[in-house]
Amino acid sequence: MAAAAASYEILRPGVESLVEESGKELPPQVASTPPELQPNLRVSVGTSFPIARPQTLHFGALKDPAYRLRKAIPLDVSSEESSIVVTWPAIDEFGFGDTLGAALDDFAHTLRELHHRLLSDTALGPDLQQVKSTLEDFIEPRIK
Amino acid sequence: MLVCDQVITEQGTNKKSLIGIFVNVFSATFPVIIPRISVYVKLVDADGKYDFKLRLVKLKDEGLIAEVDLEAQISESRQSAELALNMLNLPLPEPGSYEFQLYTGDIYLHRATMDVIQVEGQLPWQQQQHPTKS
Repeated sequence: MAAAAASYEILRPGVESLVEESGKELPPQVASTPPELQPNLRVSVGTSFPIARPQTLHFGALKDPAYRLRKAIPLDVSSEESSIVVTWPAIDEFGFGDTLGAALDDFAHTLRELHHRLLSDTALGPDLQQVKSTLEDFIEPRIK
Repeated sequence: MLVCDQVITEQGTNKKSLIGIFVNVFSATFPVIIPRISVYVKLVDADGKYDFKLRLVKLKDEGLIAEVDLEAQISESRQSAELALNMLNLPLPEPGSYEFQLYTGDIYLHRATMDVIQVEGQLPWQQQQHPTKS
C-alpha cells in the first residue's frame, strides 16, 4: 500500500483580463507547481478509528451575505439518541442534525433567523434585549 | 469547498481550473485507496496567520480517517484567498458517507460531503485497479 501524502498552497485569486480583438492568444496553462508548503498529514489505518467529534468547538461559519462573525462562538457538542446537538449556552440556542456538520448548519440557520428577527423588532423585552446584545458582540455587518 | 482530482493554475492571471469535480466515489472493493484527490477552499474575511486543519471523517461512526495540519499567512482581508490541498493515496475503509471538515484551530469553518458507493462488476468508465469518481 502506497504511503499517503499531501501538499498545499495558498493562492492569490485570479483575474479576468478582457483583451482587444487582436489579443486572442490565451495565457499558458500549467499544472500547479509542486508547492513548497508541506502539511502534517496523519492517516488512520485499520478497522477502528478515533472519534472525530469534539466535546466543544468554536463556530465560525455564519454564511450570511450581509453579516459576519466578529469572533467565533463557543459551542457545546453532545449527542441525544441518534442526533448531534450543538448548544450556545450564553443565549441557550442550539442546532441539531444527524451529523455534526448538519447540526452546525442548523445552528447557523437558527442564528441567522434569530439575528434578523431581533434586528427588525424594536419592542423587545429585557431577556431578548440581552440576547440581542450578546449577538451584537459576535455578529457585525459586512463592510461594503 | 470543492473536492476534485486536480487544481490547475493559469500563469499570469492566477485563474484556477478545478479538474474532475466529484461528489461520489465508486469502487468494487474495500478498503480502497484514492490515488489523487484535491480540496479547493475559497477563504473570505481572513487576515493573519492561521493553523488550518482539514479532517476526513467517516460519518457513520464519526471515525477520523485522516487529518492534515497546515499553516497559512493570509493578508489583504478585503480580497478572498484560496487554498488548494493536494493529497495522494488517501484510504477509504468502507462504503458510506464521508466528510471533509475544515477548521482553523478549534473553529469550525466548512464541510464537503462525498458518498462512497460499492458497485458490483465493472462500470463502463471504470478504470482497472482505481476507484471511480463522479
